[in-house]
Amino acid sequence: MNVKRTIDIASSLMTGIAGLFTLTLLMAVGSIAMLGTGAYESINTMPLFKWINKVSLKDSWWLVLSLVTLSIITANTILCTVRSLIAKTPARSFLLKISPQIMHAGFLLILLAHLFSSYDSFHYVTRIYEGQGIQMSNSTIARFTEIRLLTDKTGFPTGMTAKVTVTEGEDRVLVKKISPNHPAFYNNMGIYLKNVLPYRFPAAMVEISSDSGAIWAFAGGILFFTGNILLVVLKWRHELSSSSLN
Amino acid sequence: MIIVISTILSYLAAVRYRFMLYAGLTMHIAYVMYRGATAGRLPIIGLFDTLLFMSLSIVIFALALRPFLDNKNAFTSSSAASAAVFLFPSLFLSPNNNPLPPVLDTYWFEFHVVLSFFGYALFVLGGILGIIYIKDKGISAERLQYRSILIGYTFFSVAMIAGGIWAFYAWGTYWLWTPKEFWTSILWLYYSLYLHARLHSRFAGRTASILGTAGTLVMLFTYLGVGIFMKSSHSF
Repeated sequence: MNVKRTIDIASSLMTGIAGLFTLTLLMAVGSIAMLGTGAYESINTMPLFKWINKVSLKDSWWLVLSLVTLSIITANTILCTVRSLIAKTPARSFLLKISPQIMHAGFLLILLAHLFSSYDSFHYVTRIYEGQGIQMSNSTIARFTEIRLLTDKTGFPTGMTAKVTVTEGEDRVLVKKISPNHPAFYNNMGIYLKNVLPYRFPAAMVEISSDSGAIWAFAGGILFFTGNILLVVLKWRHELSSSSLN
Repeated sequence: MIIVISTILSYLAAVRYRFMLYAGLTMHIAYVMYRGATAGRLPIIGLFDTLLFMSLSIVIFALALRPFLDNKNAFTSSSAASAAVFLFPSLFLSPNNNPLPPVLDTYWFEFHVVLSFFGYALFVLGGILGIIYIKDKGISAERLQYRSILIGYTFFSVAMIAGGIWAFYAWGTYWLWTPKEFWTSILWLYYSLYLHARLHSRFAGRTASILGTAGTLVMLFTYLGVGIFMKSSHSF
């Protein structure tokens, strides 16, 4: 098989369709496989690649196959995008041609984000009492005070807060009130209040995490959204004008 | 309860008499607004409210898509019937009147849920249009199925982005390996498959239309099946 034929197949729409079909099927099978084993209990607590190395292939086979399929889809998306961009198109159809490629670029960035997250994301969840601290790095400590649970008249929890103070050696570098959905960030690390515990002394579940893929996922999401909106508007106009011609 | 029954009956009557769709829609909107006022938040938490919202979205989008179709009556009747079908189980459920739990108290969550259900509703309508196309061979039904699914896909994609942002602020990561997130991705991949297959001459037309119609089943499993058959942090 010559190089041109290989590129033709790798960049073809049919390869993309076959890849999407296989991936959909593998993930559906995987979602059922996940239920039957305890191996998946730790999947959210460590980077994906570390988890795959830890568990046996008997548990992760579908995920490994999904990653292989995803690699094929990635190569197909890149080649298809490049081919589409270098092909000659009338100037008035340029936006219509470019919008799916913007979506593809967004999709690729999201995949890249998952790659980063799967490689080195970090999550540490622990219980702390009022005044206790967590060592974030050699010289950085996050200390938690003013842990409060807010309730309504019936006792239903309506909010929870804690004050976090981050110190770097002797210097106080961050003081912030945190609550669910309102974490504090310091040095690419998030400090999250997960829950306030109903103990005799104020206590909370907190999380220190870092996810290097998040910013890439966000950028990919924005790109995908832009391309998608553009495509919808242009397709709608295009179909309306072609149906009025008919 | 009475207003939900009346709304269901109106939608069922709309299968024959179209004006009843508007009567049902008026009651439906009034009830959803009442639910929102009672709960003091957007009524989108729990199966009761999401069924109500899903059904309402189906009717609103059906009315918006209707002018673009040749076979309007079959589409209106089927949409009204499916709205009634989604409302029916709510008769056996209790509404969740609790205030928003702290982790759900963010606009990102509201965006995520509202846009997801807009997507789901448009996928249901895509399924209906697919059946109309397969039965009648009306090209306008196939075109509208594509548009309905493409717009639904857009809403759904934005919902996933909003969900990722919410998850990052709430749990420190934009992605968790839970059955619900998994099936959300499966649904998204499935409709990506449909959108790509429709571009290929081998699948364009009937095969793509069948794919688009079958997507409704994937959507139903993602919405209801996962909660029933799989343990997930996204419980309804």
